[in-house]
Amino acid sequence: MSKRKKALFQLIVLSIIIGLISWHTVYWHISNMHTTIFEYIEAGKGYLTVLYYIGLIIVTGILLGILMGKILEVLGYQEKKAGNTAGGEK
Amino acid sequence: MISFPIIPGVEISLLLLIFLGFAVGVIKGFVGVGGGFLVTPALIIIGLPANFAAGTSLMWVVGSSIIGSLRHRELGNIDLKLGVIIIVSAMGGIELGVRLLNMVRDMGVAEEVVLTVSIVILLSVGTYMLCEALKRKAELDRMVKGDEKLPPPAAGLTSLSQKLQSLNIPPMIHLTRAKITISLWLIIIIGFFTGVLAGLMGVGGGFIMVPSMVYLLGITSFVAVGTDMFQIIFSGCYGALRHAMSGNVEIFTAFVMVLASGVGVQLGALATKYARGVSMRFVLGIAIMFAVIGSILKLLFFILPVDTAWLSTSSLVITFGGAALVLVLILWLFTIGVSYRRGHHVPDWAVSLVARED
Repeated sequence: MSKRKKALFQLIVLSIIIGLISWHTVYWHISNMHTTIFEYIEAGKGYLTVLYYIGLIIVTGILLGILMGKILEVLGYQEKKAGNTAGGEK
Repeated sequence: MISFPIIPGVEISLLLLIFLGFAVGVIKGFVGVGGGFLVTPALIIIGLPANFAAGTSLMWVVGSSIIGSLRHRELGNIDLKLGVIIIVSAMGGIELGVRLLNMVRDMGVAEEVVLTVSIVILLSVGTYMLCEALKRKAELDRMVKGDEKLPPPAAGLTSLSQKLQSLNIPPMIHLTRAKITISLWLIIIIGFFTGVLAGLMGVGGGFIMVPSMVYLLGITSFVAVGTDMFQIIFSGCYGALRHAMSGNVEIFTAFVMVLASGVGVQLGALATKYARGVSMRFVLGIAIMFAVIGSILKLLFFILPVDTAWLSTSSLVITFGGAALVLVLILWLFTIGVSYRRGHHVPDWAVSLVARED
């Protein structure tokens, strides 16, 4: 499998995962599950709320960051690292 | 419009939220600052209560910083060793800064002290940055006119950073990506001091951290941007955690904004490859000066005894006007940079802002 095809495959998988996370977040917002989780704070189970919030944001951030990289790869954009070139100029 | 069961009576436009996430993402990706200074007031304006705006904006800062850091890592803009040392030393400073803040709050003068400190420091940093960037641009313009080759990376931008780098206080460490060798103690002191200011001023500290890394440590502008974004993940996480425990986070809003900033942060980070470091310092200097004007108006609002609600509104208008200008500048630099790379004609005065050899 060529590098570009591999990136395309990873892009599709990542898109599906992000889509599922988005669907989950919207669904929990509509079904008031987020309210239930928010109420955990007053019920003394705030650690669950914090874990869910931080976990959701970190996972989304990481997946989106990788997804964007894959999009650039599929588009054929090549990164040049600043350390080996004049990229880090003042 | 979306409503929030945990905040009754509040409705926010989804499109506005998406646009906000994208726009602040572009600025964040290019300039490297956390973006909380823009997102918090923006969320207040579009209807979130202040405590939710602060907590939600920090949650967004964490997500968007992760996205930006992944891109800056690909671009080779993150010095991991420097980032880790700064995170550790800044944490101690932030704790001291928060204690100082609590102390002045107990004395009943928190807003006045925090705003005055912010104005003095940001005004000094912003003025220095703009003057230096203008001076550097004039030098580069002269080189462009004389058909000289523009200079490659050089260690030590200022005489102060050169002096600091020459101080031989063991242990000396070499920062591969930043391409400098410097005493560990100097990084710890700068990280700690920046942390104190960040804790006291109640912001992530990017406005102070990036200029400190450039002018005191002498590292290149975009490595400073990338490394700062990396360290913001951790300091932002700490703040977001505390806010989440206090019930100040509206997670759906934060999630939508993180999704929206995905593209914006990429665009901003990519723009760093099409612009010279002097452009970034120029743009950051402008953003800082707008933040200073906003803070001055806010300070006047607190200290003037008469009814001055318009000052508070003006402060928000200035903050957003500045953000819009910075956004347009970045997109313009990106467009000009791409045109220059493709060999298209760009105005002579703009060449020094985008001409790069890589």
